Amino acid sequence: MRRAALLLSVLAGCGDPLAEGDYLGSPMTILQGRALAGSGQDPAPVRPHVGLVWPRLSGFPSPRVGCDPIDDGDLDEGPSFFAAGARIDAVFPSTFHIELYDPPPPAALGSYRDCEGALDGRMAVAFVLAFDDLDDDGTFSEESVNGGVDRPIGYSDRHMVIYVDVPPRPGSFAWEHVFLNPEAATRGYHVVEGVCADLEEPLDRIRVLGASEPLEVIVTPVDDDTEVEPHCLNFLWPGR
Amino acid sequence: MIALRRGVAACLLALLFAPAPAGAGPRRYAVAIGANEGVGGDERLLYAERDAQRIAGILRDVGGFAPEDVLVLAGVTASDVRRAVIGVNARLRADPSPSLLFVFYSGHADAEALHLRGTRMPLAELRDLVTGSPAGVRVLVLDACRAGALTRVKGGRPGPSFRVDVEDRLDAEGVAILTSSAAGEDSQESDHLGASFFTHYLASALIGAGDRNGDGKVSLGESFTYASERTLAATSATVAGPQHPTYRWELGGRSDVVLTRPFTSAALGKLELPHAGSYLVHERAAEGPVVAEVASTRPGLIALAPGTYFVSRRAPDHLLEGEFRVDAGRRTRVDPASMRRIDYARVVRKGGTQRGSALAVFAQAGVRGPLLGLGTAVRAEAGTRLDFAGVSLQLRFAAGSSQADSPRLDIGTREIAASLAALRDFDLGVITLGVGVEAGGAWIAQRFHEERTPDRDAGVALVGPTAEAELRLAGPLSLRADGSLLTYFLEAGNDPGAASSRTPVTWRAALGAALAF
Repeated sequence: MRRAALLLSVLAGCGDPLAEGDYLGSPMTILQGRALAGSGQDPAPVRPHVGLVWPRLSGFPSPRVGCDPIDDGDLDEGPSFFAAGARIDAVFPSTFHIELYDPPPPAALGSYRDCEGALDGRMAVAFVLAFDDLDDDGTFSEESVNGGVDRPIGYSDRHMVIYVDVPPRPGSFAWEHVFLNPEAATRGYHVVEGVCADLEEPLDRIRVLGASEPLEVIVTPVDDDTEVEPHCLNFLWPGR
Repeated sequence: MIALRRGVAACLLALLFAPAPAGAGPRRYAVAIGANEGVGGDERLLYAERDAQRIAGILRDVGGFAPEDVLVLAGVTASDVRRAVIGVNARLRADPSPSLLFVFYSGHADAEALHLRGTRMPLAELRDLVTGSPAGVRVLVLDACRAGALTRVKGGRPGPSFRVDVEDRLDAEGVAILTSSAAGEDSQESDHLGASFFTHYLASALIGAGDRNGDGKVSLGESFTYASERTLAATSATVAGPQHPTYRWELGGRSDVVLTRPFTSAALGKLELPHAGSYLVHERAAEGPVVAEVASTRPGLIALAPGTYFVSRRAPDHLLEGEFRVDAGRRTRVDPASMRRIDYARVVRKGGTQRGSALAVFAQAGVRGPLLGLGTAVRAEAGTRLDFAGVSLQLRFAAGSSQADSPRLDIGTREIAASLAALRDFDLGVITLGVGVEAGGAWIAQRFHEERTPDRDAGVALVGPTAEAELRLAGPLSLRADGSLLTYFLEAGNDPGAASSRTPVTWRAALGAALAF
């Protein structure tokens, strides 16, 4: 009997572990982070979550510095997109990791173009947001906020997440003035931090830290009047 | 199962012939004694009293014995036997016509005495009662252990017998001893036959199986020849070993005695066995008592009371079976074309032939239930099966695939499995049902149709109960269905670094066909 159990164990352990029916595959990237408590959490969050919110960049005009004005047509200010997030403990600091399996929606991608309209780069940019998932559906949306269903409770002041679809072209405006280290802006997900403007550079720029850089989220009261503006991340965003 | 009887007995055959009055046939008297209960530590026999009833019935039906002249003693003591034989002898003295006395005993005995329900009757006393009988012809048949000790014959064969009708003038006298076994041998009962071996074959001989020369009469010599040959053949493979019936024929002249004329009674029918072979005849159905066994190298004929009989004919690798109606005064032919052929695995399970195993191959299509939420798998199966008397072994190979859609991924799973099953089969008419256990292993390959997500391949073990049903179609072809409830032993986990051992349970079912060899 013992030998039979041993044989079964050997057979059972041969090869790879099998994936189950709910397997999502290998993630493109896994974001690690921690949530820190800010001040004045009232009321205390019930179901705190951390997730990524991708603004709809495709609806905005593409920034073309030094070019003649180009009529990009009507603005498309549709809702932003929410990427899969992760639940965190209500006791802070709380660690989390977010698995990203797919690129962000195409409408979240914005482009950098030269004066002739040639593509200099394309990427999406996400805020790292903490929210109270009051309706317990694991998602966050502006509609749920407007409807008072979910409640934002914090954001990352220091980090954002970008997805590079088309890396910046060397010598392009994006290469020269958006990224501090453009050669690191390879295709895929990256964590970025803001680099403040200085005398030489009138706009903030972003430094690519890599997807394994841990995110830091401050859970602090956020209301309708709060402008989510991470520190020194006021760079020239891509557009249509 | 064979029950052994202990004891020693001898059979004395005393023949004293007296000239018969012209035109007068001998009157026949019989005393048939059966004793299931012996003495002391004798194991209780099952069929001795039934043996006596059977012989008595045959003598009445086809031996020319008037019913009032046949005495059956079952479960009696030595005093009862003594009183009965003395009583018959007294009747014989009062009847001056030629006569025949037939005394039959089946039960326990030893070298000195018969064992009768706690009492002993010296063998010499019985011998003297018979040999001293006023009957013209005296026959004593004794079916008990170690009979040859009294005859001091370690196996023997009857000499050439020649038929002499009792009605004819006989000028021989003497003593003949018939034994059911040689010195040192046990005499055995057979649960399968429902009788002792020797009496069973003696009875078969008397109703016609022993009519070697085909003259419609069965002589003492013919009946003993048939009974001894069949007894030796049947007991050769038993645990107790072969049994060698013997006899000693001491006659001033050689003559034979016609014991039965099986085919002259209008009250009986005839069962014709048109082909040489080995036949077993049961009353009513296969489960009914065995009434005759015929093994002959030429066509045979036996007499039976009207009724329905189940006849089986044994060949080296198959059986033929069928039901036949026997009517009084009519002949019923056992036609092989009207019999069912039992072949392949069924004949192995049934036994009675030389075939010890049967091979078959099968092919099936089936499904396997969901495993780890990966969907139901469609499978193709093929295998081979080896049937023995008590167990069937099946080796199965299967290939299957399933498709599952996770929230973002298509998961294709392929499985190649091999398993061995051991089943116990039960033949119920044209359907065979089997239950058992199946165990084996499989190789499972998962493909995710996404370059970024690596494929996974794993070996797993499986075990579980299994059941099957098979419907015989024609010849070697059968329709089959089977299923199992399987426990898989495997490693699972979406995150390879956090995998764990799991034992999910699922089911398998398949439908197909089998071809036997």
